Amino acid sequence: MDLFNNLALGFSVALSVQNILLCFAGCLVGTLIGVLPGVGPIATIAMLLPITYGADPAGALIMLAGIYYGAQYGGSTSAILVNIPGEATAVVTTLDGHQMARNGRAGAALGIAAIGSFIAGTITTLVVAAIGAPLTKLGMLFGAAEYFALMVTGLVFAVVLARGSVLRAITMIVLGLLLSTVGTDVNTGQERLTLGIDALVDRIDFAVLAMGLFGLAELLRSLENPEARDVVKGAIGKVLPTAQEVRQALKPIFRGIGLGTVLGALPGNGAVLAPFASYALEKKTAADPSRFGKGAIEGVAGPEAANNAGAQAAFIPLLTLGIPPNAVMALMVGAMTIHGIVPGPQVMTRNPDLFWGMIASMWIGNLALLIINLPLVGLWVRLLQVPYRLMFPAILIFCCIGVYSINNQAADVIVTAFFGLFGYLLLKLGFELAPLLLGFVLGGLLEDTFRRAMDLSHGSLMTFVERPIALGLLILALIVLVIAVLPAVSRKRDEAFVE
Amino acid sequence: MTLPVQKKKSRIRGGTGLASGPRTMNGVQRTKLLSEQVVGGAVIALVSVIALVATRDLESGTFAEIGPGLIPRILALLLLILGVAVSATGFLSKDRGDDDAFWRWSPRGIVFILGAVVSFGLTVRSLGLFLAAPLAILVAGWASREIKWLELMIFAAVLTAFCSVLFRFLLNLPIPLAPWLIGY
Repeated sequence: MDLFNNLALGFSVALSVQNILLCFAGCLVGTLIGVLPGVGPIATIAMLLPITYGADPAGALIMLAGIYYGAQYGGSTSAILVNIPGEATAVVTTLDGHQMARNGRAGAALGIAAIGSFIAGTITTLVVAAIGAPLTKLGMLFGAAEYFALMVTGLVFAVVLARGSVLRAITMIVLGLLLSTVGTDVNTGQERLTLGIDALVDRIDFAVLAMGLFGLAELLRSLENPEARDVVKGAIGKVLPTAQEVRQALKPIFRGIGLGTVLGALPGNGAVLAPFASYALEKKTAADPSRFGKGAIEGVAGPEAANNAGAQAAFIPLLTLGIPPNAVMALMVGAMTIHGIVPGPQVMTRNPDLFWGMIASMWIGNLALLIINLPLVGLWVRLLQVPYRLMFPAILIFCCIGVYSINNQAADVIVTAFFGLFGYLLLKLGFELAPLLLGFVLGGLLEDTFRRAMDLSHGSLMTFVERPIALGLLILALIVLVIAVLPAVSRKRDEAFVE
Repeated sequence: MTLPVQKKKSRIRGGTGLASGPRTMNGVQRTKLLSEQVVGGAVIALVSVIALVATRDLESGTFAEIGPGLIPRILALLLLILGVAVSATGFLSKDRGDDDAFWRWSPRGIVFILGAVVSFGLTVRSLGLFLAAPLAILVAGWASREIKWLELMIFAAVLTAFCSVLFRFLLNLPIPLAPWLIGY
């Protein structure tokens, strides 16, 4: 019964006129920016962060969540229409989605993606609400040592579940941790690693780093390749899929939701894996696997539902334990901090209206997506036909204004340019940037919990071994890491992503 | 449609100078010495050395009394080890990764995109959005080979007007518009 009372509280917050408007506005602008090819959810959220400053904390977070769903859906739209995924999780959608578009069924592909996402959103909202309270109670029992161990475990999961080399992903996480120590040390007031640069004394702002790495560096990378956009020309077709297509898609949608919810709730970045797993599952269980890759609607519906379920389940570790499982959630932490809310189990008891309001707004956000996007598909198509030579100066100026507005510091803009260059260099050298941002955001929390654990144990590292929960988590992390680098398993892991 | 695209691609790769030179001379050796991973590890190691030098004056303290330098120093050392390990695997591995992408730089993009961002940072306070934004847009426009001046100038004017209304008036962000003219 608690669940329904809580949800009722949530909906009373989320259904205020102001918050509904914020949620819709967030979805709309999120889709608007997210639909631009090469602009993923991370860049979109970082770019649009300043527009939430005017709202109260609950409203701002509701709007941000709306931006997030919008950006996710926008990424799928550009994957289907232009064959350019906005981010890793939309890669799968390009396979069959773009083929459907070429067969003149772009409307049906976009429609089933929206419908699948909506069903996924509805179910996952209930799951998040149901799991939220008990997990939060568990989180309350955790001390500094347990938190430290949990974050280490989360980072290990994030490495193992990511694409590409385990070694290089760990390297990026440690680099992110190191960058998080730049600036004035909270405990002693001494400056660390500032290299005499004034702009770094106040620590590097997470949005500055995110915008440099995911806005500018990506922009530089896309300028390398002369425009080769394959925008679907001609008719989009009816947006509503036929009854037969819906029947075909229904089971994949529910299987996708199951996969997405379980994987997304892991403390590591499981959500990334969900669409890949769903696509592989659908292809394996299909009566006629050869249809896949040629425009099978199951290949769009399943992964899209898994993607959205995973995206939303990723809120579970953030809202209950205060630990962001991926780079997007890391941005959410930054946004919460800007509004004076420290993420963690105390949020639910201290700001219940915010906690449940945000959960309820997830469902409203998904509804908004459905209402906004289906009629507006034509608009997105026209937007995608804007030539890149005009699109990138616009992206750039939004980045600049966004960064400047964070602290009204012109120096931040120049630091962003530096990180753009640095991020581009890292991309060229084959490093992924998402683990860096995750390490950066968790760095402050990790250092803080480590110091508190050390204070409590009077400097004995044995505290991590003597406390059973901490020890268990660290052993789990170690086992997962060892298994992942075993040759047999790592080959399997590569295959899973190639699929 | 495809012909001009291919032309441009070859121009970019030829333009870097790095792309064609070493490969035709001695492909095998370049792969061994300068593969993406080897250089990547070296860059990481360099960053960690800079961090170690920068933390040399900070006290480490003990685990019971943690000083400001302890955590950055541990992380920098860890990063050094990882950087060396990445380089080493690059030497040992036969997998060359996406070497082509590594050698295909876009100097034009770097100069004009980053130049545009820096110019915005330097001018937004003094000149305000009315001038800083069109300046940045015009500089950024150079990054593309397909630049069309008239179109870009009209676009810059429209975009600046749009941003001014959106950020200053609708969202109330305190970004200066034209301090030299209207005082804010």
